[in-house]
Amino acid sequence: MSEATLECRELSKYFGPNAALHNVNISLPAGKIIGLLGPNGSGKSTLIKLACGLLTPTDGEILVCGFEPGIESKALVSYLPERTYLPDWMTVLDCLKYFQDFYADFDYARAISMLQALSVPANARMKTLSKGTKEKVQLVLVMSRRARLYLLDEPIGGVDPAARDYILGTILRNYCEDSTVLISTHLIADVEKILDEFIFLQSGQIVSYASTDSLRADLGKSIDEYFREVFRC
Amino acid sequence: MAWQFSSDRPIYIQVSDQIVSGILTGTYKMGERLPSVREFAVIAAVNPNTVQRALSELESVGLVETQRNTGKFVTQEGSVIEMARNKRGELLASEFLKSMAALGYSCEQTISLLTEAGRREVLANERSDA
Amino acid sequence: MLGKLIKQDFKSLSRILFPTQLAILAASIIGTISFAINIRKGVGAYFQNGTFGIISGISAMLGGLMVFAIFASVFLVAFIIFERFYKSFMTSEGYLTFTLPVTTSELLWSKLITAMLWTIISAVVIFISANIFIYFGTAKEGIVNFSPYTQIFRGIREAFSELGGGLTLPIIEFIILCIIGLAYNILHIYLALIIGGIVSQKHKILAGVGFYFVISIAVGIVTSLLMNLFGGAMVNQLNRLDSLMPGLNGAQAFHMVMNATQPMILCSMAFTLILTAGFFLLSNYFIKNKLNLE
Repeated sequence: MSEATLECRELSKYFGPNAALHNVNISLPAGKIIGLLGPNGSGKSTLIKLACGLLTPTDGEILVCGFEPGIESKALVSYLPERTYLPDWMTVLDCLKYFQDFYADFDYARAISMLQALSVPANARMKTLSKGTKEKVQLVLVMSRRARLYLLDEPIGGVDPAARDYILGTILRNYCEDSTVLISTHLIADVEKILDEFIFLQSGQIVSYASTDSLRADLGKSIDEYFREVFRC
Repeated sequence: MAWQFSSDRPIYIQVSDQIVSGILTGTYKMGERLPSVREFAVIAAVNPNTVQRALSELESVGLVETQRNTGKFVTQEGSVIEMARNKRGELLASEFLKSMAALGYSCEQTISLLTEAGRREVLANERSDA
Repeated sequence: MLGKLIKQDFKSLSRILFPTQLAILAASIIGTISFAINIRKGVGAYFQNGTFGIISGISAMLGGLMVFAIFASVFLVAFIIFERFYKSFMTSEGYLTFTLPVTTSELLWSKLITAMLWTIISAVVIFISANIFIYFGTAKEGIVNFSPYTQIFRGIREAFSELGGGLTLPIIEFIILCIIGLAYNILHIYLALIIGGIVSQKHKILAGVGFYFVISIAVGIVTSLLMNLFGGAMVNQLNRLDSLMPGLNGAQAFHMVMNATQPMILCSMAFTLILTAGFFLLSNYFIKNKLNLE
């Protein structure tokens, strides 16, 4: 698989006069876990939404496994938004069946075992679950797909340390050489150990794209320390 | 519990150090099968590619062997493990001496402190054996 | 994929609407029974005192309940259909909807088809309720009242014997007009909601209502323009018809009117169809290119 999982060429997205992304050029390979890092408003969510096909580029192009965002790319992308987005009235089991219906790469058995490990009742309505549990269900659904590109928007945001470990463990257990995991987060220290590579995004432009190892070998710094340096207020 | 890492050295080097420690302390015995790359990744909470690189490093010095279709094993060669043990011991010793020198102790003072500490240790062991 | 979407959308509508349709049938059965009791005792029975007066009073209320239930059903079905559309496309649920591996037109088709299906189901349920009421509830003696039906069937037989095959075309045209009209109205509201959602992030529904009227006005303007152009021809045609009418009997008059008005009927059908298609294409365009989830 020589083609890049995610490729952006001169990608720009404007909201009115504001440039959320400007001339982004990047190519992400398969088999890597990559961090999309940057301060609030740097364009991380915009880039992810463009890859999902939820937004259309103002300029340039974005390709997922060679496809422009459309029905082929959506079948290859598994997206975890920052917010809870599953319908309130559906039960956990309804959501699983929904995913199984529409996504050929959904591993139903895996999803069930993950839910059992988390003690989430399968027949509970989403409405009755706590916010943390809802987020876990969403994570299970997303990671139970055998996708080529996983886009995780702040997956460990408002979560307790034990759940954080579980989420990172799930990402690692699901790792596959054919797929790319792009994690957008501002909790760098927690996520750093599992990242192969990282991207620094500032004001809609890519400031840095390197591997974690080379940063440590060349500069003797962790990503967290490097981030504080680059984005000093 | 995930392994702890410092921020100034590449993680793969720290992972391979941790595995070597495991071999030297007997956690991973001679000839024993090591956890798979994926299992290590989850245990240590690090990227599988990082684990792969660490294990490759250990393979290149002969501490770890890959057997096709069965996985990775700790070497059966006791001599290789002893060499690694000596290397680690030398490293710890020189680091210790440097730390003590930074506190103001001369080499001779450090050695006599160590001898004293060693004698106390032996006495304590005899007492607990009795 | 479209089949799966339709199945899911239908399921999510049925979840709420199916019980309500059952409730309406139940309400109409209860209303029918109570009305039937009343009608046998004579009107004014509920003015009597004592136990029977109370029972009659309750029966009258139940009869009213049935009427209320039917009206409520119409509003409820419409409300639920458009609420599901709004939630599915324009709230957080949109993150689920728009990342499915389906095209936006498939999403729209599914919403349109399930909305039309449920409207028809609801109409059928109301039709059945009304018939239960007429059949079982209005008999002054015995259990069932077949007389309205005998009259209706007689009328239908007469019409067919006089006009024969000439009836099939108008019936077909009527059905087609109903279907196109239903799609037109549903898509009208869908489009208004979509544009409203794009234009105003904070007051999507209010803007949607506003755009409903904007679209209505726009369609009205186009309609009047067309009437200006073709209205004269239509009026002439109708006047000519008028002058020919006196010498004809019923059947002949019917056939002549049908033939003469065909162009008008077909044109208005085509016009509505074009508008409906336009609504669909516009909705699709806006969803695909302009919809921004917060």
